[in-house]
Amino acid sequence: MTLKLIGALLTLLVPSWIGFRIAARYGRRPVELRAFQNGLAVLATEVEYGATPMPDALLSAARAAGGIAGAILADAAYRLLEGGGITPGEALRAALEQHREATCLTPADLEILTALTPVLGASDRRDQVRHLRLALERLVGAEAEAAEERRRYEPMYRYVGVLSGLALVLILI
Amino acid sequence: MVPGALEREILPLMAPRLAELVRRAVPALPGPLEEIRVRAERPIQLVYLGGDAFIAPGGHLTADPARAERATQDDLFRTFQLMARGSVYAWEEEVRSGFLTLEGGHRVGLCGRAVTEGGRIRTLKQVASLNIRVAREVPGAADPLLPHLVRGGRFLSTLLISPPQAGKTTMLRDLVRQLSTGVPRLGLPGLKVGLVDERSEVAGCRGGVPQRDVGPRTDVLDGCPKAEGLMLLIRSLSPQVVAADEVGRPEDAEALMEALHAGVAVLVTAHGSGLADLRKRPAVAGLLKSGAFERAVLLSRRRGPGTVEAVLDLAREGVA
Repeated sequence: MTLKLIGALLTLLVPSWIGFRIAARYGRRPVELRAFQNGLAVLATEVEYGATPMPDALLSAARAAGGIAGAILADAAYRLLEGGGITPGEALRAALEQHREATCLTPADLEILTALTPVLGASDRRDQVRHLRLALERLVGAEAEAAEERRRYEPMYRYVGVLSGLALVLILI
Repeated sequence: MVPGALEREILPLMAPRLAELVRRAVPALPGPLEEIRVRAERPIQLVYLGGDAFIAPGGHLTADPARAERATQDDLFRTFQLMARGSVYAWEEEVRSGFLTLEGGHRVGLCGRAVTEGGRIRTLKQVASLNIRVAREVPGAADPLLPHLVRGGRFLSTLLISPPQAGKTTMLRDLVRQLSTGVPRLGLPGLKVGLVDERSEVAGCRGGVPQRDVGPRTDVLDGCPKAEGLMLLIRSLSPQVVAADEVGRPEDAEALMEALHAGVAVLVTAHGSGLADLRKRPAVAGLLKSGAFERAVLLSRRRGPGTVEAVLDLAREGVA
């Protein structure tokens, strides 16, 4: 009997856990998009008013962003500081590639950031700020979409997880 | 052997492919390297004291541009990015004036497509030519010259005249260094020197700190227009000598006159191949006429850069 109970509990828990995991991804995506917005906003300010060299500017952006977004920006900064003939764009691209699995961003979200890589640090202040602002706007758009999806799917996947667990238990009993 | 400064300060900032080619080619040069010239889709040229050569595939030297290795657009872009430390926006003023300064005081001339606004250059994009000038510090370059410029423990206001590439800036730098340090054998105490380094060529400042030895008593006003800079130095830094590279505009002359009236000795350079040349330039002619300078020094490349052709005593000649 006890064994049956434990089995039933596990059968319930595993699909629920999976459902919560999927739901959490929907929850984290807007948060990460918001973090990148904060990061890029700081980057734009550093470039526009501070004329701060790129590695330092990326590090302050990383501090402002926090979380996985901060980790990606900081990674790009360190790659740049390491040298070896790479440009800021290549550093950012490599950092995005490295952490791609750890983020909850969709390929479309990541594309907004990779679109920055050919120009990052490569032109005058006005041009840099224009590109950063454009990326910011696109991130805001993506965040709105992500928030909508979160509203729709986050509770749904939780229910689906728990309910399919229950269903499994009922079928197996 | 590749000189240390080149290996340390320049090659890490070039596209790795170009750096490797230059590293292999430089030891074979018959003279010291002066310039590395990289042009998009064209041969890579090395200029040394006494001539020039192109780099062939594998890093060999060749005189035939058709057989030379070409720099790609990407090489140029990457090198420019690296030299700007990935932050082109931070050197906006410099890029607009067509140069970057590297650590060590090496100057990189830029050429490409100009983006203009209201008739002025706003920025350069698609940088297509880089001229990397390897800075040479020649301590003691001014040794033979200095005794002529000092009388009774006093430094005499001096005008250095030279055609381009004849070691004008190197000479100026060493004079500044020695004046600032003091020269006991001439009875010259260390003087407070104010240096206006409009194009960051003399002191090679990066982040405000001189990368070249300009002496312990030298204040450098970096990247500042000469006329305004000279006035600022005289007003607020009480220099005993003011120095500047390449004067020639009317406002420069005015500022120099101001300095002389304030009892400050002046050390400046001007482009030209002789006094006769300079007298044709209104601004400098005025200065010469006023008796402002006590010495004029003519430089040439006849026996290598920094050859002193003549030292003229302007005070005695009563130049008219």
